[in-house]
Formats: sequence, C-alpha cells, structure tokens
Amino acid sequence: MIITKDIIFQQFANKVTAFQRREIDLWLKSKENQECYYRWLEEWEMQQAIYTPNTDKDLMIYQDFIRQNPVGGDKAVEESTVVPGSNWPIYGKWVASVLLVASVAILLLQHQIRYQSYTTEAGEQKSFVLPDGSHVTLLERSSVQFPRWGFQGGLREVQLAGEARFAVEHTPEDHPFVVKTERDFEVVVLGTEFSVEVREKMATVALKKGKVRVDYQVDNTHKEMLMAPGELVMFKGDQPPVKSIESSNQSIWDQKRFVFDHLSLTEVGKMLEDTYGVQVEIYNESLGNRRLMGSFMANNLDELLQTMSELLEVEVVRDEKKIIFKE
Amino acid sequence: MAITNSFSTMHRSVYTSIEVEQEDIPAIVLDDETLIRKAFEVSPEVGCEYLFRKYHKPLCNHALRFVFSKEKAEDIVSDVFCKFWKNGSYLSVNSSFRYYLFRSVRNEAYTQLRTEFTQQSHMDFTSYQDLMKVVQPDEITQYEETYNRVQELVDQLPPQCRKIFLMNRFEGKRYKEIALELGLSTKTIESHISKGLGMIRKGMADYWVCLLWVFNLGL
Repeated sequence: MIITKDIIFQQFANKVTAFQRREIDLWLKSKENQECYYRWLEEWEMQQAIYTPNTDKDLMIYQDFIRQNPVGGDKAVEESTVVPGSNWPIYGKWVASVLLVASVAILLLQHQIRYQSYTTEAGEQKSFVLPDGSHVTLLERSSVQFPRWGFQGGLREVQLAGEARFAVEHTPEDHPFVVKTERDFEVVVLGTEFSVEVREKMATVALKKGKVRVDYQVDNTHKEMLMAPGELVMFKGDQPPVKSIESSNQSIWDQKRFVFDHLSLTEVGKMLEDTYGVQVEIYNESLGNRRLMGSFMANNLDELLQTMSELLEVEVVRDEKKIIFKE
Repeated sequence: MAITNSFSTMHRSVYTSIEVEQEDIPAIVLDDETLIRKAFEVSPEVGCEYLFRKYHKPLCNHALRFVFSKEKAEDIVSDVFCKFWKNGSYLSVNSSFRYYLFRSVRNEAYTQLRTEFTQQSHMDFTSYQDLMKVVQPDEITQYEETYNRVQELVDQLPPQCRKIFLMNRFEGKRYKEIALELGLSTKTIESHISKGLGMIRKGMADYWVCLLWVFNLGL
C-alpha cells in the first residue's frame, strides 16, 4: 500500500481501517516518513483549525520569558566554566585591563558614551525600553540612537535609520517624542504606537494608536502633516509624502507588508538586497523584466521568496546570503 | 493564500505572453525551515520568535483535541516553547523544529489528559499506580486514537450536557456566565459538568485499562 497524504489525513480524522493503520505504523518506522507525517499534521491542523489563538499575546509573554531567562544552551555552558572567587590574580588582571580599555574608550568615544545605540543585522530584531519607558522594536538592518543617561529637559529625541516600531509612553507634562531620520522628515508624537521605516528608496510612517505629526521639508519650506490611527504616510524619492489608509490595520504590526507596484523583478531584487542584506542574482534578462504588482504579507524572507516563486512561477534558490531566480 | 492566487492569475494574464504548463513548474527548493535555522545562527531570540509565529496556531489547535480547553492547550504550547528555550534545545535538535515541537506538544497533551482524567476515577489504587507506569504510546498513531477517543466521548454526551461542557471547557466560560446565558441555575450547570466529566473519565479510564492490559501482555 502506498501511503499518501490523503490516507494520513484520514488517519488524523480517525477514518482509516485497521489494515490501513497497520500499514501506516509500518511506514512510520522511518524517521524520514515521520518528518513527512508531522509536516502533513501541520498542514491538516492549519486547514482544520477550530480556532485562532491570540499568537501575538502569547508571543509577548514568551519573549518576556526569554528576556528573564537568558540561559539558552551555549550561554549556560559558558557561565558554568567560570570559577568564582578562587582565582584572584586572574580576576585582578581582568579588572586592570577593563579599566584601561574603559579610559581609552572614554577619551576616544565620547559620543558613544553619551548616546546609546542599538543596531540589528539582517534577520535580527531587538526590543528594548527607552529611559522614559517607551518601547521600541528595532527591525532588521536598522539602528537607533538615544541619550544613554535619560532624556534631558523634557526633550525626547531618538535618531533612526532603518525600521522600528514605537509604543511611546505618555508623560504628564505632554513632552513630545521626536523620531529624527536621515532624510528631511521627522515624526513628532504624543503618546502613541506607530512604526517608521526609512530605506534607500522610500520611507513610511504607519500609525496604530494616538496622534502623530510628520514634519518635512518641501523646497526648503517646513510642512506638517497630522496622522490619524490606521493611516500610512509614504515618502518616495524627493516627492511630497502621500497619505493613505492602511488596508488592514493589523497587517503592518503582525507581519511585514510588501507592496509591489508594477515593479520589475530586477527592482524587487534591489529591494531585497536593501532590506535583507542579501545578494540577488537573476539568471535571464526576460525574467528580470517580469513585473509584480499587489501587496501581500510575509513573516520573513523565506515566506516572501516562496510567494514570489509562486507568483512568477520561477525557481528560487537560496544559498546563504545569495538568492538566485531562474526559470 | 487566496490573495496570492488572484495575483498570480492577474500576473499571468497581464504580463506573461508565454503559456506555461502548470505541471512543468519545478518545486520550490527552499526547505521551509531553512530561514528559521539561519535566524537561530544570528540570534536565538529571533529564531524562537519565527518558530512561535509559524507553529503556534497549529500546535494550539492540535493540543486542543486532547485536552478540550483552549486555555490548557495554549498553556501546553507555551510550556513546550519555554522548555525549548530554557534547555537550549534549538542547539541539539537533529530533526526539523516542527518534528520536535509537535512531538513535545503531543506528549505533554497526552500526559495531561491522562493525569486529569484518571484522577478520582472508579479504578482502585493499584491499577491507578500501574496506569501511571504506562509509558507514552510507542506507536505514533496511538495519539490520534487517543484524541479521537476523547472526541467520541464528548460526542456521546447528552446534548444539553455536551453543550454546557463545551461552553465551560472549550470556550472557558464560568458556571455563572453559562447559567445566565441559558437561564439555568448555577447548581444545574455544576451537575451537568460533573456528569460530563464523569462520563469522559470513565470512558478514558476504560480505554487506558485496555491499553494497560495490552501493555502488560507485552503485545
């Protein structure tokens, strides 16, 4: 008997005969088949899902757990090899060299001392709390800078490159919170949740809750734009910003949204390189000229590539930091 | 992904002039966990997040089949993920993460079900002790048998009793809420639920005694 997905699906739904079940048990003796079995189980559970759990909420609790228990595997091993107290001379040397390094650092890196910065690599994401209690989630290939010793004089300013989501803590004195960017616009906030993305080709601001003002320059004149929840402001090239309604309020917060507006695969490839720090290769020229349009969600590069491969009916091969598209 | 499909059609009709046979399209080379593994190399925190997002829903739905309670199912899944992090299991798994997570959740759900539905059952002490000695199923398909057995037992409850049982267990509603919604007294709700639980316990106990018997015979 050949074990097919249909038969296994019937097994999950308790619709197989004793004979079939015996065959399945035999088939399951191999690890490879077990892997296949669990893959089908996942598929079946996604199809048959009885309900949708609140994944975001549970994930936040899980991430708190991870932060409070920084014991994951390799680190635990490292810690256990440190012998506390017994080796004073070695310990002393450590302190001396740390002090030396620190004093040199103070002389050379005053800026780095006064400002704390967080940076993420491709595929990395960091969450942290600012001195005023505001939460920041820094997405991949981005960096954010803010005064290390707390915001002075009620001025809450952070410098952002790349993409981040902010949940700003409201202060009793209504101190504005300002996100400065390398481009000529900045975002002024009063207690709210929003995200900012600044990349080479475009920049976006999306607002979830509260109120923000986007300050920008057009021909050297200062302009302001007020945003309401659910709105999205997009900057493209040197053109004035365009305001639109976010199609689904949830989307940008849960997953990354990719908007392809009649872009050729070559252009999309550039976007991928920009966002993910990968190298994209397109085998034939005709393929590079194929155009994509529409907007869709993907949690990560993997899902994005899979969707693109379905969309364009092409083969996508990923090798480390290199992505190859071919017919 | 309905959206993707419609784009796909749109794309074909608007932009492609060459007709491509659906069957000729080569399979996607990417293994669907490649990127998650890469993420673990960069940062285990991010890797865990990707994993959680990918598998949380199917895992919760699967655990639900055993324990019949959303809350318990979600707790089981969260526990498995916490252990996965705490033990640094991502460094040692030599299977797919999916394999590890589904197996762990099934084991945990099975154990909980067994613990819950054998308490205060009609069995005498010795057989209960024996029962707890029963190792986890050695055939993978036995897990399906088990959750389907629970499903059957729930299906066999008298209609009103089943309705109240599901409102309480599955939807997580309190006795008072159910009483209010159905215009019944809290006492009635209580008795329905204890009746329902009793029937399921008895059914599961019979099932496990049967398994135990098979186990003792070494079949």
